[in-house]
Amino acid sequence: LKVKQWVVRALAAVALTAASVLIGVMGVQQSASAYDDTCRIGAGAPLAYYFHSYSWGAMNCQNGNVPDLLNPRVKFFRCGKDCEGLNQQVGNNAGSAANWDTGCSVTVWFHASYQGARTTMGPTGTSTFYSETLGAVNNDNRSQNWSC
Amino acid sequence: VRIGNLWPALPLAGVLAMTAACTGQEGGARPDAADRAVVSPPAAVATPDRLAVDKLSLPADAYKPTPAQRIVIDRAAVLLTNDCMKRFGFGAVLPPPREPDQPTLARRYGITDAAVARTYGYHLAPGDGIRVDKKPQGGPSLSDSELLVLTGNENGKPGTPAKNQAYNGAQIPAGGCTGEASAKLGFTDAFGTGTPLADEIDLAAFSQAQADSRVTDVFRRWSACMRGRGYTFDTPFDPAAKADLQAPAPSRSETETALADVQCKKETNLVGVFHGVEVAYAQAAIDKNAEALNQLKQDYLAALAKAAQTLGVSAPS
Repeated sequence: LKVKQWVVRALAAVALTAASVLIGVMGVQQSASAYDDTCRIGAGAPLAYYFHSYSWGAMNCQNGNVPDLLNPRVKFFRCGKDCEGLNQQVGNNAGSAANWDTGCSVTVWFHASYQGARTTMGPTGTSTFYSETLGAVNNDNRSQNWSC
Repeated sequence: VRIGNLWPALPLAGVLAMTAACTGQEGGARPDAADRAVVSPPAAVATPDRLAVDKLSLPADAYKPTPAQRIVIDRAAVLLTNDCMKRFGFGAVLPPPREPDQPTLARRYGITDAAVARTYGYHLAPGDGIRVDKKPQGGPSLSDSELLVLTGNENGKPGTPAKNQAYNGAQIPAGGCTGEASAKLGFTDAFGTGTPLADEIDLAAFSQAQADSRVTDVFRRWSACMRGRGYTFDTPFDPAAKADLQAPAPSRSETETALADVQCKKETNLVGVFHGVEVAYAQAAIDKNAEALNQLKQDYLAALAKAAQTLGVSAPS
């Protein structure tokens, strides 16, 4: 994680300059069934991934069950508190996540097709809705599913 | 963080003795976030042949609230949060939480049920402990004002405290109404919105185990078994990653691959070895973090007691 932060900070200026262009390109690379452009908080809302731990970096919001974040490959396409990680892949590359659904829990899995170790985030407002680091699925987040 | 061969190899018994002669971990670089849960390669106890995972558990479970305890804590947190929101003139913004799913190790080591493999391949199947229903996505969003009072954050987003911590002239509690509820229930840094240590141990032990030479050895034997059936994969997690999971139903090729996968897991005792090594890592991490884990348990039991008192119910044991 520290190495990733160091490298990305070095590239941050370039990423910020290119952000508006990249957003247009990346829009077509999202999985239509799972990508949630609203990134809103409420009933039926998505899981927000952040590129870095503690909700820093670029974001991507995914709704619904996603068996493989690398196929089709989804990317961090919007800025959060900063834009580090913009256009990087989301799968196996997220540092933290927040469940913005007020009614459903979401589980993030180490491997594709809901396999391997996993971490579960409760609905917004419960004690586990936000994972500062994603634990050991930090940078190893490959699939997600919901329980409502 | 790179794990070296810090501990000498120790004699292994049973099936593990057949699978590995050392405890070295060749891969296994782990994120810094899980440092405290990362341990040197431990010896593992004998593990009987296993395929079914429904009776398996993980040692760090003893330091987590049970589903029955978790629902009491969550219900109290939601009740207190909604009471706070009502003081500011809002309705009950959070719905009553439902009981969490029972913890399961289904799919932790990949698919293991031949009947499931034959019918569903690598697609989700009933009985996996995983919901397969379509997730509701279209409900009402919280307003900016509701989010401000709920969390104290700008737009409700974590880590972005609003500059003006007041609403309609009234001071917002620290951390918003969720912060007030957390404070009333005594949530601590150990038991809060981070990744609690017991979860870190579960996750780090899995990650370390799958890079451990005893497990990579059994992966190689599984891979050879699969090759003998006409399939080329390095690890038991690869077939699902290469399956067409966007398709509504599995192809015949997928179900045949999945069935061979389960048969080869059985022939090589992959689940038994993987689970045995994982449990050894988890137990070593528990020993390393005994004091912090005991504090975690005390913290959540204290929160549970306050939550039960808030709801007027008995605290589940």
